[in-house]
Amino acid sequence: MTTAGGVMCAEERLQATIRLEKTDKVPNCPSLGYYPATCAEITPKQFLFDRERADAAVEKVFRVCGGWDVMMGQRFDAVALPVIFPMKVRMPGVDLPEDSIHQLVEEEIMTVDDYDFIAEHGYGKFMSTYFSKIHPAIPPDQVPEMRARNLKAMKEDIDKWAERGVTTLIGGVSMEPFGRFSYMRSLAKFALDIYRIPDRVKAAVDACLPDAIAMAKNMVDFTGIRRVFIGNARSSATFISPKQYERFVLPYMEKLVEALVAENITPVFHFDSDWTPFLPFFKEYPKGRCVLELDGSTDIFKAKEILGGHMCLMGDVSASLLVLGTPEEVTDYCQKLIEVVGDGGGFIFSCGCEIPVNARPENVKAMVKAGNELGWYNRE
Amino acid sequence: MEDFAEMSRLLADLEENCLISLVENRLKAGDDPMDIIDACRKGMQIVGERFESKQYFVSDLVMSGEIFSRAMALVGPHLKSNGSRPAAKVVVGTALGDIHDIGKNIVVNMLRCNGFEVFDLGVDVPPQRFVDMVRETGATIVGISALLTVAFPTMKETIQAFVDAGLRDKIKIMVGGGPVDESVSKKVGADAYGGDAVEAVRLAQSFTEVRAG
Repeated sequence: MTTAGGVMCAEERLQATIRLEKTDKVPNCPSLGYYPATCAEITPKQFLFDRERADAAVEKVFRVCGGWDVMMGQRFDAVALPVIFPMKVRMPGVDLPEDSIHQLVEEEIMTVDDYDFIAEHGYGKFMSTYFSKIHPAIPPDQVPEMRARNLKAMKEDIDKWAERGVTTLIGGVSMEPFGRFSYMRSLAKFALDIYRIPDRVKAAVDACLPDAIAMAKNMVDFTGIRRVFIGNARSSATFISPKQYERFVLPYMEKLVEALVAENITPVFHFDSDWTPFLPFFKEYPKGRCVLELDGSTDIFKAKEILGGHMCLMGDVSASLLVLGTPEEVTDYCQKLIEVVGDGGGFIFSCGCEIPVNARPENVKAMVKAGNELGWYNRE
Repeated sequence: MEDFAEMSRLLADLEENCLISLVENRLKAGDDPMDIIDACRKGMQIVGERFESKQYFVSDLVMSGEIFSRAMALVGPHLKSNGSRPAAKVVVGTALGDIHDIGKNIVVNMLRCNGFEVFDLGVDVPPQRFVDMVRETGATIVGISALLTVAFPTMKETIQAFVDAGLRDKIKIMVGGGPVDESVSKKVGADAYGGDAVEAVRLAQSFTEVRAG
């Protein structure tokens, strides 16, 4: 609801922004990554494994930066990491130093024959055996419970912040399997598959659709936030050609988006790497029903030219600017983002991908402050 | 001669099976293996040009590298020597604290396809390992990769290690990887930044003035 002073509540503002309607200001939604650990001077290991300290660390960033109106949702912790990434994960304090952030291992684990298995039996059934290959130490019967715990933690966070007037962007997850297979097969092997066995790859991609829809629906029904995160980098123009995109990715994505929108679910495309040549494809998706989140590699200003008035954009203060830049440089870039990409609405102000763990604190403050102070429409 | 032009074209067009058959046939016919290598390198040059003009993408680079490697595996046993041209040496690795290697691996492959001798140190490489490998091999080019911003300081430390070892003015250092850009390159003290594997090859060629083909 809008208050007497004409200020929208956070959820109302976010929904209106996604629908490309006029709002009072751009939503400010920094994706925190491991930065809270840095801010609160705890290790990434403590951030992952000690929820109380992690909560306090997030609180500290919020307080120190002067707050914001939208939380990203689905943070990293020791329960979430194994269930959200389809790869081996090296964890701080387990197989990496305690002060390191988690890292994903690029390894050929999914086999060529697995494409056929997925095409025949679906993604869910495949994952029940694949999971043991990437996490042999986790008994398979614990996996549903881990997923449930992760979802419950997401819901608790959503409710906790909502009480304070801060809404949450992400209430669930769906997937784009072509990009995901690249991680599971390893990039080099996968690149060869799309030349050598394209039909088998395509059949497996298409067979993932029912599970991708069910996954999203189950999560948003539980959390109450009908927006799902679809992470991807490997289907970008950094890796594949427009022709490959049109053949392997676009038909699936059109069906997925259509099905999600029919369920009143907003896809949030968290698309890292360079998508610039593929931006015209995004015009095929329904107007005002999706969010495209960019990480600084795609030209977000070009995205505004192509998709402005059609799709809400989100981003994109880059990791390198937050690590190496000065607060003045950060503020200048944020101002440009808000003025150009935010022009006329349809823009969620954020960092690119996430705030890096070694971002300069004064830069993070400058970014959040810019979102809070420069993001107002029709205000001097 | 026509067959060699066809060989370059097949590689450039990523026609794996046709190229492999042609290489096998030409070897059986007794052609000079060096001519076959040159034809394949010309094909790889076209791949690089298509990548630069955005007709080709990383998946195409990977595929071209695979086809080239298969062709070279066939040619290898027929070579009488290691080739006439001594290869320029490049030491490549992912900076300490970072275990990501896909970009680095593509760079390694593309450098090899273009005639460089590459010493791949893998991932999470301590600065001293880079220095030791340069000393050991006499390499004149170093490539440092990073996907994580936490590896920026270790990139800088690696370059400082070359300064401390008195080797900095004897080598050229190029950096690359996801979040790396010109500003990172300057701040860590590298000589150049390469945005992708083809740029890395171009940089290495400019450093050595050795042109493949």
